[in-house]
Amino acid sequence: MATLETPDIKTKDQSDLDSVWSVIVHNDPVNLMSYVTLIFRRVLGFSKQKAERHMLEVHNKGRSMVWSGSREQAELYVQQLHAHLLLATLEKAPTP
Amino acid sequence: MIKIQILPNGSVFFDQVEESFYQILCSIREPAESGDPLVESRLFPQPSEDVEEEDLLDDWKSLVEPDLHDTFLAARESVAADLRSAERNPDGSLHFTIPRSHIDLWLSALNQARLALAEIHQFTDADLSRAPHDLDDPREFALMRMGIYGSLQEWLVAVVG
Repeated sequence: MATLETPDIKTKDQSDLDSVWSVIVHNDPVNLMSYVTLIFRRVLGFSKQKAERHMLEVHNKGRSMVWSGSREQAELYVQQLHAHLLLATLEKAPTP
Repeated sequence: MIKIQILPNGSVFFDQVEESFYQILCSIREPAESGDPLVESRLFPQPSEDVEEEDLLDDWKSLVEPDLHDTFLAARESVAADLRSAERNPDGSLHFTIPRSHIDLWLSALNQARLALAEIHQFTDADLSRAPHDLDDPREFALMRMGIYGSLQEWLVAVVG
């Protein structure tokens, strides 16, 4: 008789799910400013003005927090930004 | 001189393209396919700087990276196909069209090429702000390619943006 193996299911820690997560975009010297602005508008739904503000923050300060919220959505945004070759990471927002 | 025209359907028509420029375009896919570990790291960055996020980093490598790999490859292949469809003019120059639906794929392929060239040749901010010198030097030639790809990318961003 065949036996069923217990599937290896990974679960996210409840504290991870409860926490607020941030999507950070990091500067790189190669990506064009106009291209980064375009991708912010497309992926994050920013207005042109807001996209340019965040693009300049990345350029001048080295990084910009472009979104915060649930971990699942943060992972999705990072994946989409990587698909457009932007350097993006997610990190747990500091607890207030 | 190259003539570029946006057609009524949104496609972009290139005419009077010289052979040398065409060959530079045809080499768009090479840098991203170099297999250089630095290129791989840049095209497939980690999703977190926190080394304790082991599960996320493992999942990313096994689930997300293969998708990204396919996405990037599809863009490069689409660009190569558009270039293969180029036809020669009586004067020896070439003409070809980027269909409107392929512009995003060109943007991706051009960006892949620029990012990869920057990693392969370790271009600094100062390099990226200067004109190339001796084009017989492979590094200087790569810098020129980056400039050409960047100009074309900037132009296509303006078209779709």
